[in-house]
Amino acid sequence: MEDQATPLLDVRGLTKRFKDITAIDHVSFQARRGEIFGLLGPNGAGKTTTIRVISTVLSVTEGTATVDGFDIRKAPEEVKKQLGVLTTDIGVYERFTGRENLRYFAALYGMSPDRTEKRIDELLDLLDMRDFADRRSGTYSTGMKQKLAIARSVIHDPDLIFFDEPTAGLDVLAARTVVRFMERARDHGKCVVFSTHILHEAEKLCTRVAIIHRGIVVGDGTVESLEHATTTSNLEDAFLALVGKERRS
Amino acid sequence: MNFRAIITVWLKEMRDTVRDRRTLLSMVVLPLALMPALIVGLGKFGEYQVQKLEQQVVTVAFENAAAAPDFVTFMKSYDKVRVVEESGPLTEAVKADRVDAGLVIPDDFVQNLTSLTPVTVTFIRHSTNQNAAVAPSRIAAAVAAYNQQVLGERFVTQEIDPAVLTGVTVKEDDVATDQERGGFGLGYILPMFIVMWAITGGQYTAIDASAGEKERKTIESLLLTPVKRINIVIGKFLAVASTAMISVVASVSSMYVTLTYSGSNLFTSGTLTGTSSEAVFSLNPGTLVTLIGISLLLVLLFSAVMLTISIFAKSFKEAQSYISPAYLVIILPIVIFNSLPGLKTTLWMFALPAVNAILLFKEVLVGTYSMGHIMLTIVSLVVYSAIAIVVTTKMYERENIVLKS
Repeated sequence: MEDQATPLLDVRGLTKRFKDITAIDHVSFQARRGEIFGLLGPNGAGKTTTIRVISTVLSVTEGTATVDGFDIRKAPEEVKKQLGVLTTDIGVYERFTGRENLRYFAALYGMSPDRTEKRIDELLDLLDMRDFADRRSGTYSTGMKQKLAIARSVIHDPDLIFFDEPTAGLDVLAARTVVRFMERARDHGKCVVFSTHILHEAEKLCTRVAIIHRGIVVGDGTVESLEHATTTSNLEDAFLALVGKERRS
Repeated sequence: MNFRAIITVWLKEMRDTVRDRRTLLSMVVLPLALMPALIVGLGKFGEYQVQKLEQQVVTVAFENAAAAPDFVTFMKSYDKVRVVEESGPLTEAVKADRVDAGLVIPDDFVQNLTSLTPVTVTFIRHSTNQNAAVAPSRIAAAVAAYNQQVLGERFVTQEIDPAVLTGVTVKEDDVATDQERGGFGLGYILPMFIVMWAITGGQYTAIDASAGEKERKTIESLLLTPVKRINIVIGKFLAVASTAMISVVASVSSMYVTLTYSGSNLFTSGTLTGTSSEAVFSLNPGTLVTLIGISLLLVLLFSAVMLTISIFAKSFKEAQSYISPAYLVIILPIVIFNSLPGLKTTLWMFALPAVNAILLFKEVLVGTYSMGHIMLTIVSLVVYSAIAIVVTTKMYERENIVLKS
């Protein structure tokens, strides 16, 4: 049994600068196994940059983060093995079937053919993809592509999963599939980081959140603790109070 | 180096390429179909043009024809020259392309001829009239024949054998073998085609594997995998090189088959060689292996360059707009070196990227290559390719380039 109290993701003073622009500034938070952690903020706040730096797609300027003890500066390949990211853009290889897309990524993660086929079967059932898995993904609807993108991001069964604005642009049914998947992952002891600007979704799903605004974490903790600290009664009001406070300062 | 990851990326890109009709067309179908069409078409066209020039009748008008009746009569009887009447100014008639040439006879034509004084006849031509291109040589031949006749008559009058007119005659003995002549002709066209297919054959794969990844929004997912970028780049690079090489092999094979079995005389008619003697197209196994080997190195260099250029673009369309001028920059020096008449090669030329391959192709085809040229070409192409791959990898590591969208 994994230690639920030890943070799987530990972000400490993470900073990313693009020339003169500081995209994220000393961002710190922790996320644990068995929880959905909310990374909240308006568009352009720095949520995607934070995820990209943690997942080592972007280099870090200052600070660091560890994923299951692996430092993003020292062991980027190991970090990548431990995490899965559902990116905002759900691009797929359209001349490949859904199954072929998944096989390609499984191979890149170094999975054996046997393990790959078992995992693909598992995900096809879990995400209800059997009907279209052997069709070229160029013919998929947005919802189907989103399911394929989810399956691709977790093909290697990572312990830490980032969902970056996963319900943006989806219809109600597709969004529901995504939410259920996150809940199931949490129930299976995974650490889910849910990046969103849709606060009512975050309030329903997240046990703890970090609110990021203009690249700075302006508040983090449980939803209740943030409400208490801002003397508000819901996450949206707490968010506005924290963002407003940061703006005034 | 993670060979498993490299092979995975390579196979994926190859499969993607094969499933893309556009890429398949430019990689295999076009070289296979275009080469026979070009060779047979060019051969027939060359033959047609040569025959047309030989058969073309040159129309000539005279000014002051009455001053040289014998000369005009001779010109009328000369093969493939037609004398026509032109009432207006001769210059205007030639400029308006109503006649191919005009001849202005001086008033003292007969008097000078009789007194053995040289006569100057003004030849009017319109050099930009393509249809009259054959006129100068035809008129020169006719006038030379007339001179021969006049001189012959003068010698007869003085009871001298006209044979004394001929001092030295030249009998041509070309020591080049038929194969060498074939190789010389082939050296004009084959290197250009190899370069062309080495670039265009892998072009779509290069764009699809880099700018295409950005346009489809799949690049980030690829970069999220624990595969080092050098391995991703090498996998993609191998796919581009493979498709380009398939194009080169397809075009060379198709050319070989066409020349061997079509009976096309593009090279044997002297259209390209400038010789009228027979020329035989043949490639011995050694020549073929050298050609393929040098082509492979050329393909490696071009593939890395194409991939580097394409990664700067964020869409397929943008990448095409970058590659088109790059194609011109690459191809222009090659065309110049390929078509320079009487170019004497020196060692340093075999260190110039791509130009060295062109020059070596020519030498190999004629059979006059030196090991020094081969070695320098191989070493320099390997070095340039390695540099290009390193640059490509650096580009893939640049966040502002690889994630630009």
